Amino acid sequence: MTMNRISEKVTKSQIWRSIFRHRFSDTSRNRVLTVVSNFFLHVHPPKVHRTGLRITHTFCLGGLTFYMFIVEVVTGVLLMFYYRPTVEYAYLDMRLLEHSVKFGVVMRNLHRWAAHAMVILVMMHMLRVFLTGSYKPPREFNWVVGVVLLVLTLLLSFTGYLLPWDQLSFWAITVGTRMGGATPFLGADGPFHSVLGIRPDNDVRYLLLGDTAVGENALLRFYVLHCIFLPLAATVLMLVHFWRIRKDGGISHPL
Amino acid sequence: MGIEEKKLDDVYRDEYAFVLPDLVIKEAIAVIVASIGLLLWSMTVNAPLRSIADANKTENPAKAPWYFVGLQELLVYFDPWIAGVTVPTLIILGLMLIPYLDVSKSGVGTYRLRGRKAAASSFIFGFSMWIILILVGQFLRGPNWQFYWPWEDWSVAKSAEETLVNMSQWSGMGLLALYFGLGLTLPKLLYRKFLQKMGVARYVAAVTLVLLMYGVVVKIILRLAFNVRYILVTPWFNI
Amino acid sequence: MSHRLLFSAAMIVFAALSYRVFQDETRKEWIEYQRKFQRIHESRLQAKIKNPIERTNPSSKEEWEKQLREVASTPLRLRQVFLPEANIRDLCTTCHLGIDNPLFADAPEPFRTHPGEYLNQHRVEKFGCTICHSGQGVGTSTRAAHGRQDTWFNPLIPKEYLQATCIGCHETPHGLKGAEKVEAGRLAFSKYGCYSCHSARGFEKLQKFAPTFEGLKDKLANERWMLSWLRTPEKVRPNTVMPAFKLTDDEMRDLTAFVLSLKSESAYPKVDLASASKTEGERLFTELGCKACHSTSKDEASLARRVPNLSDAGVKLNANWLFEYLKDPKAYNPETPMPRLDITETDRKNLTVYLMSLKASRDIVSVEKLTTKGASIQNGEKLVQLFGCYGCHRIKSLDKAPMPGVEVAEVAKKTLDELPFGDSKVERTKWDWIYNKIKNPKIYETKDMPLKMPQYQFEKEEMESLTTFYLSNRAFPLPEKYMFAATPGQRAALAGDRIITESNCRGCHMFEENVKPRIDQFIGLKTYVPPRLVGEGDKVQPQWAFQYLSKPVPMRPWLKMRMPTFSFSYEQAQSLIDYFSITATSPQVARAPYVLLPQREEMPKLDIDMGEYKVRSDKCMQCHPISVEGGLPADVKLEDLSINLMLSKNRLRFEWIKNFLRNPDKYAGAGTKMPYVYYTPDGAPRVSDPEMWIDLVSKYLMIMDKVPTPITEEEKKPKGPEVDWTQMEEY
Repeated sequence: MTMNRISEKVTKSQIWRSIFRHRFSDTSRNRVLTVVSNFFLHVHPPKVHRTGLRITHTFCLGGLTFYMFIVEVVTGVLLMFYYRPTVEYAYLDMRLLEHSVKFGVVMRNLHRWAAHAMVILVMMHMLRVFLTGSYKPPREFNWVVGVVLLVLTLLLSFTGYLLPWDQLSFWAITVGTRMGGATPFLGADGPFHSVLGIRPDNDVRYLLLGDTAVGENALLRFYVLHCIFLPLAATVLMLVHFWRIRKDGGISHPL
Repeated sequence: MGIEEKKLDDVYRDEYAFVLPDLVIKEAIAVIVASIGLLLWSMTVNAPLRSIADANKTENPAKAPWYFVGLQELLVYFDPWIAGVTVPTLIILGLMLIPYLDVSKSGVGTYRLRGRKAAASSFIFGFSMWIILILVGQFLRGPNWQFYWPWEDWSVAKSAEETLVNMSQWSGMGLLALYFGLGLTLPKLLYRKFLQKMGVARYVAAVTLVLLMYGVVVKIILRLAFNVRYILVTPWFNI
Repeated sequence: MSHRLLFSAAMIVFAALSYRVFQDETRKEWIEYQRKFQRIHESRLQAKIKNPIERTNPSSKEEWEKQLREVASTPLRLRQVFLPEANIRDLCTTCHLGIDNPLFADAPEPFRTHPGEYLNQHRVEKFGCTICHSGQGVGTSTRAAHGRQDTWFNPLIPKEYLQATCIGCHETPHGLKGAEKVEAGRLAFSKYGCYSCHSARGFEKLQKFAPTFEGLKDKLANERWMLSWLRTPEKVRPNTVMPAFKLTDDEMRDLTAFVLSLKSESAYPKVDLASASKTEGERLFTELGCKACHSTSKDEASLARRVPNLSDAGVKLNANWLFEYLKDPKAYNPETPMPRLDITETDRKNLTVYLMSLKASRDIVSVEKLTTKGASIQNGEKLVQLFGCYGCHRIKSLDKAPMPGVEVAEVAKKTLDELPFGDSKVERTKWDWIYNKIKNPKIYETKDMPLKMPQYQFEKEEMESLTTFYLSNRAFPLPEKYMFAATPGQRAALAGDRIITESNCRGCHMFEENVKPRIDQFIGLKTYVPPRLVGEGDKVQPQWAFQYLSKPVPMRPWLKMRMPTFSFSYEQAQSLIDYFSITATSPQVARAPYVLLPQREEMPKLDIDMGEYKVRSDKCMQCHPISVEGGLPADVKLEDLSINLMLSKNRLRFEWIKNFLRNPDKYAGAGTKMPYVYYTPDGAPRVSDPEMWIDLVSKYLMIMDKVPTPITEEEKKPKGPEVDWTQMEEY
């Protein structure tokens, strides 16, 4: 009895009602209102086609990719408190994170493995969308946005790879960016590079690294790309992606 | 109240379902299960951290992050400007063009591949190739990018010396011309509908992209079976 | 409903996992250690407080109680030493909590107090831990902190090699307390001539370690000796420092052919030895002091390893060459430490005959069947470079060639993953790698990586100390203030010690109390052996020492054994004087330059007369021949004679003479013939007012310019009232 009275008191208070503008009794109206009036649930329509509810239809791959992105943002922001993107400190900070920061190891592991999971999930998501023919009209453009998001995911992961500043990251990025130097016309090692007067100190690789080799500048550039530019770009495109799902007819289902 | 209940029943019979609670609870379960998996993974396996970066100490093998290892693996068969730049650019471009090149309307919202065999087989082929290249590069390549089976010892050096040959100027050009010529005409001759349905522009773009994709495999086979280094040698670039 | 069930179940699992993560965070190894430390600390403090001795002293009891309260209120936390400028961040004291607390001297690890006195000089707050110990400073688990992870390149150095890091900051370990092992390594590095092939700090621009190859053809009797030597040097001379190269017959032939093909400018005419006497030569070999350095018994280890054992001289050497060589060794090889003896031609002949009669190892050399017939000189030259013979043996054409071996600092710089272990089963640590490389230089050899270093015969301690010397022999990249350059004293000691060792001065002279020179065992009488040089800096004037070292003059002309001419350069003589000065009792006593204290003009006539009187009445001249020209006193045995007193004023320090007169045994070594004149050996005065007499006699010696005659019978007769000299102090 008292519990009921307390809950009634709470739900009728001004504070409660300022936040939740409707009741929660299980009626159709309330089900719709919950979704429509909640910012976070608002990403969904009030109702979805039953095909989209079947777990074997989507395996929740797109949603989980987004969840991994959220995990990355949260752990990433926490990691930023303990990390300085300079050659002098980067590696030391990784070691300190490992040994003297509370939850440092778990935090870094979560960040690392969620990144890998995100890459895997986004690839699986693409495969799923293709197999269910969900790129076909009217969803063509959202597929294009998705492809760009795939590229952004890979770039996010790639830029983060350098930050620990250990042998693994240094040489992976060295190998990775060396390929960029082979770009036709724009890379110093690529074909036709002399047409535009491209040298190792003004080619695309130099643009990416801020130097002719991986070093202090590359570390800072990758850090800024990893923490600011790429997450922002991905967020914007994700919003577009989700919005277009709604506008293009929701989760695909047999016509 | 009676009216409300009746309406609810109607809705349940509808092919649309309320997001709340049917979808939201599934999402919540998915998120929690994913979190459990991630947490278990993080508690059991530590993220790698090797010794401090040193430009004077080359790692051997120096591998790119796993998702780019497929491209690195292609470096065995192609010059960097193809493996590292042209191929990924074409992959991204090709993926983006898929919805505009695939004119078939069948199979939307279902896993049925009937009626879209050409598109599905090409995509699945490319996807598998990508996965296989990654697996080979990540797990089967040892020092100096030599091939090692998982049970082989990396400390046993393998000799890299294979004698590779270039195809002669004319045979190389001939092969390329033949490949693309036949590739562009054969589908048209075999499946007359293709060209009709797609129009010339779509047809050429789609077939060229698919041909380029299979071309990568052709080059790999030429290299592995006949030790061919380059199909075409020019003063500016080699293919 | 099943969805809700699944959701709840998943939530429970997730919560459990999260709880586990929190739990792991609070169960860290270091937290356990800190709790344990707190318990031990408290119980030890309580024991102190209860201790009756401490109780009587109220202030110390209060101190302990205050500490106890502090301990109880100390939170568990990570502790660190953070030195940004040296790039040090050491969390070691998080677990090693008792490191500078004397209460924990016998506590279990990791709490035990740091042993030794190292921390007095190297405070933890200023140096951290990893500068000396290596390991991973930021690690907080034992495994990580001690650097036992594959990915950490700088693991904790075990105790036996720990001194290796001293030389990261200290330029030289010489005379450094607590760095004895790395100093032993440095000495072994020098003793075995390692520096000939491996360049190292402090071993720059040294002479070649082994005999020169230039003119070897003239020196050797024939090629057979060299061939049998190359085959088994350890059999020809069991204690040789020449390592085993394990050459094939062809390699030995080619090498010999090449070395013996080197041109020489000098000619060695045939010497007629018919008139020479072997017995006389043998006597000279002892009397001239040759035996101080050279052994003639095959199995005996020489005192200094670079000095050749002469047991096989008759098999090895060419008599004509030997005769010329004895005249002036430096004419043959300017870098040889062998001094010039300045002996007569007859003596040289006698010595030559004697040495040519020493024929040990003849049985090994004579059966050598190999000849250089058909050998390839070109290939020999290649082999000399391949095996690095030119590292130790001079070959003029290869003077500019780089050192054959790897630089020491290069090894020090290498991390574990850069060291080639080959197919060996050696444990994968850097120190084990170095130790085993020294023990068995070819252990890491593989088909792709042939190794050239020959096999040495080291003692186990030598291998350990050499490993210590090698492990970290490079200047650490630390700020200037961490670096300790060698002090002037260390430099002088190093330079002097090098000359003394090179020239084997210790063969004849005692430099350190109780280290008997080798010559002692062959010469019976103490007065016949070369002088002991303990406290030489206290004793002689630097000016005199310099002249004597540059060109020795006979001090005791009646002796056959002479100080030979080492032809020390200006710098070398100066280094030796500096060495004497820093090994002296104190810098004040051995100050340089020496200022002549008493001047004749400044001295009252009475003092001079009294000094002269005392010298005459004490009959100093009886043993110290005073005539500069020679003319020994007739009635004294040779063995009782001592050095000319006229030399004193230029040779001896004033203060030393006084000390010597006070206590002869202490300043000239036990067994000196000098009697106790002024004091008894126990320090009781023998004459009235001994200090005054000592002062007067010493002053007189410093200004003496003519020979005082012994007191005549006339003077002994009492003349007038007896003068009591002891009452004349006011003059």
